[in-house]
This record gives sequence, structure tokens and C-alpha cells, in this order.
Amino acid sequence: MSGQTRPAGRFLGRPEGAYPGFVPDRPVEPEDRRPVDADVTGSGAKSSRASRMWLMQALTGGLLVVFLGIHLVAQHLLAPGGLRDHASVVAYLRQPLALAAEIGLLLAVVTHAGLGLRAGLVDVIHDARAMRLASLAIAFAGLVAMAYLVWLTFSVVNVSP
Amino acid sequence: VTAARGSAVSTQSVGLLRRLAYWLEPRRHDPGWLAFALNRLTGHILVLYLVLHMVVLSQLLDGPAGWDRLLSIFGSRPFLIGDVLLIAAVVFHGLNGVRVTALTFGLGRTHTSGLIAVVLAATTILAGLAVWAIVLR
Repeated sequence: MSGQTRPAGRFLGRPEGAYPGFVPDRPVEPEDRRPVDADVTGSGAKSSRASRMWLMQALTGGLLVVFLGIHLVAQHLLAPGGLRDHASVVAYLRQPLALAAEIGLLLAVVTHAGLGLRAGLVDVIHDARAMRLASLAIAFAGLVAMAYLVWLTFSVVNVSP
Repeated sequence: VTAARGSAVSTQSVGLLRRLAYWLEPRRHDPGWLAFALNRLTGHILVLYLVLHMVVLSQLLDGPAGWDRLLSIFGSRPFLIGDVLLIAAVVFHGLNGVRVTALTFGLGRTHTSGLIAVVLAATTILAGLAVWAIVLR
């Protein structure tokens, strides 16, 4: 630790005293060798790939709170019996704002899930090359899932009434 | 040589199992560790649910017949209880995520135990409300 006082409200990288794997700090690239919170006032936290991933996870988590909230209220809380029938789902998704919120939800949730899975694997996989392969596999699966969900959403919107 | 290789493989296996179990291992009754382990556990449960949800949503392409048939299954009691557990997982993961994000920005670092207690209490209350709204009502 640098021993410097941390200013509140600025992204600090890995939280102080965080448990192993809490923030993905491998694969071990030269820039990732230092603790991600070692130098919060310098370039340490900003330049670390691990910190960028952690920041992305926090951002997508924040987006999820918003989009998932909208989804739960619109699709379940306001729906009679808690679930919309087919016609109601199609009618809801044909509203541009609702469609944007659902697309935002699926992009945020897949990104957040992928980063979370990767963070879990960091605890298990200690080989840098294997971790890189695992990261690529997760990224590929995430992109496929996003493409499928976007296609599915627009297919439902375009279904004949 | 074979014995040495076997020993090395065995050591690696134990290491892997230890690493797998590491984040579920309670440490010194630390609330932060409990929150961390629960966050991971609920996260993995939610990823599994996401995959299942993707499969289920594909039924929308079959039109009203396919989707509305599923709705009657989703209204059954086991699924409703599953919904409550899912809501509890989402609420805990979300609220704890907000706490951890605040921690990352240097906020609430001196009130870890209290904030975790708030997260657990809010999860319990909202899960209770979900039981009332989804299962009992």
C-alpha cells in the first residue's frame, strides 16, 4: 500500500483488504503485477486491466439496478398474475423505450455475468495462458449470448400479430 | 518416476480443490468473508438462471401457444417458491454490489459489519414481501 490517504469518491481499484479473487488480478501482465490499489494517486489503478474490468463490473452492476428494476416492475409487478401473456409481451416490446430498456438489460447482464465468471475463475486458474484462454472463451460465449438475445428480442417484436 | 508424477498430480488436484473451495471457506467469522462468499454464490446461481431464462425465452418464437402453455407451468407452487429464492438472490447480490462499489470508492469502509447487516436485513424483508406477494396472496 502506498500509505497515502484515499480520497473518497474516486475509483480506487481493489478495495483495501479485499479477498483473493475479489478483483481479477491475473493473468499476470507486467502492468498487473503490482497490487491494483498500490498507487491510487498515480497511474497504478487507472492503467491496470484488472481495475478496468472491476470498474466495468461496477458500471454494468449499476446499469443492472436500473434496467432490472424497470424489467421487474414492467414485466412482473404490473402484469396481471405476475406474468405477461404472449400478446402482452409483444405489445410491451414494441414500445421503443421499453425495447431500449430490455436491450440495455441484456447487454448489461451478459457483460456483468461474464466479468463475474472470470473473477471467479481467477481464484482457480493460476496459469496466465490458461486464464487468457478462459477469458477469451467467456468473451466469445458472452458475444454469442448477446447476439442471440438481441436477435430473439427483435424476432419477438417483428412477430405477426 | 511414476510415483513422483502421481504425487505431483495429486498435489495439483488438492491445490485445485482448495482453490475451488477457497471462496466458500469461512474465515475467522468475518462478515466481509460471508458477504463475499454469498455474493459469489448468488452470482453463480444468477448466471445459471440467466442461461435457463434464455432457453425459456426462445419459446416466445413459438407464438401464443408455446408461451402461454409455459405460463401455466410457471404459476405452479414450486416455480413460485423458486421465484422467491431468485428474488432473494437478486436483492442480496444487487444490494451487496452497491455496498462493495461504495467501498471501492472509499465510502463505508469503517461500517462494513453494519452495512452487511443492513444488506442481509433488507434481503430478508424483501424476500418476506415476495413470499407474501407471490406465494401466499
